[in-house]
Amino acid sequence: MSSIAMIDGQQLKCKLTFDNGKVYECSTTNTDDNVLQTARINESEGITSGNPLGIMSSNSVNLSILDSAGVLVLTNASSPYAGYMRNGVKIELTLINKDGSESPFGTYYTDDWDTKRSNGGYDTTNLNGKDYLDYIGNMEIPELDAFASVEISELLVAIFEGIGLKSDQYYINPSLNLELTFSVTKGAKVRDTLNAIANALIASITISRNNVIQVNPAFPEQPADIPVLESHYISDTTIGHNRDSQYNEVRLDYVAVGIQESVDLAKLNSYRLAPGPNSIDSVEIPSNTQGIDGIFVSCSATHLNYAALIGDIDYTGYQGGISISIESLAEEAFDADIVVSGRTSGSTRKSIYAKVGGNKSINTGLTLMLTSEYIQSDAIAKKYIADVAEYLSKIAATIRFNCLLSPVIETSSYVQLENTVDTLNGIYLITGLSFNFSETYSVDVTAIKIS
Amino acid sequence: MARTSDIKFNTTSFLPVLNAENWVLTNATISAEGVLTINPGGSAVCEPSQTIINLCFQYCEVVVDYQSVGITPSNNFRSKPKILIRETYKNNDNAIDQIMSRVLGFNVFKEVSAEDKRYIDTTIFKTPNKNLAHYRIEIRNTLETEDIIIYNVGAFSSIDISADQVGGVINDVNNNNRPASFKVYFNDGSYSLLSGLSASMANSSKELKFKPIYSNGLLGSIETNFGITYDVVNIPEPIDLST
Repeated sequence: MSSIAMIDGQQLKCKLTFDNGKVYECSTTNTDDNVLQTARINESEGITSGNPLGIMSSNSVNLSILDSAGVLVLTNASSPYAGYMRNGVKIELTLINKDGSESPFGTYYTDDWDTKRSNGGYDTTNLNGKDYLDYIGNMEIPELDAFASVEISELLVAIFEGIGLKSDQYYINPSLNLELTFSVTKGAKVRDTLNAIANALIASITISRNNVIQVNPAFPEQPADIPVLESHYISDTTIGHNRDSQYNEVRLDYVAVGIQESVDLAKLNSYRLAPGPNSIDSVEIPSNTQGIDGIFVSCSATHLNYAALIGDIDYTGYQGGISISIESLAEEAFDADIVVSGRTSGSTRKSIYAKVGGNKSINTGLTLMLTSEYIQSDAIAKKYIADVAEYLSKIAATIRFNCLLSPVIETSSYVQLENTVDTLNGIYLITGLSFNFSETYSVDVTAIKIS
Repeated sequence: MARTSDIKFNTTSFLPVLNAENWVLTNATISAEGVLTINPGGSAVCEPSQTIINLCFQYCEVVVDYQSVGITPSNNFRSKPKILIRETYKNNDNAIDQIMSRVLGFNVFKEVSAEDKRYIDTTIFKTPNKNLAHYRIEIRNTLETEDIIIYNVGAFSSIDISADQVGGVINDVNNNNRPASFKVYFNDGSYSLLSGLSASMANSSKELKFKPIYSNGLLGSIETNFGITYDVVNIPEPIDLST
């Protein structure tokens, strides 16, 4: 059984990249100028960050930089960064190990910037930043192809790629699976949809220190060798309720979906077809469309001669709409009737309840209300709500403590506490880390007891 | 449109079997076992003549048993690959009076084997319900790099009596031009439970059939052989049995 690593002389350096391509670097090892005086980095998972289900959560950073030359002062017009010291400046943190090797320690984007002036000179510049998840969370949902009978992971891929991410910029744990009768995107922002998906999967969506979005089960698989943390290394221990998980009961509102028979999804009567290719974009179809059977084109008797001159026809559907192209081989424009035929989903809204941890206490204020468009069958709803109830009972208690854990430790890691008082011994899942690099180093750890 | 589950279809396709005599192939092959393989950019075209003479039906069912590694769930929403159909209809004077052009996609609702990417796609659509004069079907592989294999393709006409024929029977009966005959059907020869009624013209094999559907001993609906099912609550007018 291995022991968990402690701080071993690691230092931190920071690189700011501005929109004009110029960079500014500072580190905790500098002693004169460009000194990274303090760095507080908060890494957390949804489990203990405001929602009982492991939803998407973003990390944050607060940096204090001793900048004697004043190039980071917003009013310094002669600074090489003048005009570019605004929200969204890229912050790349790197851990410098004792042997000189380096490893990524997170990428952030500034969302606050201030410098204090006192005693005739400038003190430190303070920068606050949020990670890339926070940035993409505010993006609009991209226009997506509509899918039926699709795995939710395929919908996630479509969202990530729709906002411009490449396949090496995200990771979806293959153990996460949920088949959707039809795909939907909930909400207008990427954050809303990712949160809804994470809820449905009981997953966490985080970002790694090398800036790769991670979609993993809320409870990752436990490794065979869980490192041990001896009790004498920890201090300021607090054990308490996880205020975000104190529910007696869970209620799920979901949509039971079934595939309907073919219907006319859209009709365009007397549509004027010009000679050559005709593109008919954004024809509205029901948002719960499961599939397109086909496009049917006919002509009125007065235009019968032209009907034989309809050439190629194509269509591409997406959520709530379809684009059609019809080739006319006629030399004149003529009218045609166009029908889009396809199948929609029928749905029934249902509710299901489950008790948390066999809790029999009556308290109407402690029911967790969940709504999911991604739970689409009775069988899945039944299993899901049982999983949520079990999950809530597991994360009911949290422990917070301070120690000198190595900064290589990451959230979603398991740790085994030993030689503490009997009630504290056990296996814990680390759900939050707050690193403090300054003249001294410390880590505040938040964890939930698994067993 | 009637509920598709209520429509009865002939079990014999009016498309000829897959072979090189019946189908014009471009960048495609048909094996001795009748399996059609279409390469990217290729097509197979068939224009049946004998099987569609005077064919008139209200609904058509096109069934394709196919396989391709290029198929994904997004195929439910795109015409790639596709089937292009042109139906030419004529009126009672044998003059062309309607042409329909259709494009059908390859949907993935029904899996034969998801692992092998083999599916059966069934599409049902309403026709103008007139006599066919000409029929052309083209299967076109518009995938960039993947072949598509067609194990079977069929077009099935619904078992119905066209509106014209129904009107003809009613006119004949009303005008007493020709005698009509009526049949009463019973279950299993016991003559105790009515299982159907039919009306037909003399010297005609066409029957208008009505079949009561019972549920828990109560009449639930009446099925017909002309593509319409009447729910009991939707029967338009009560029959006056006093006259």
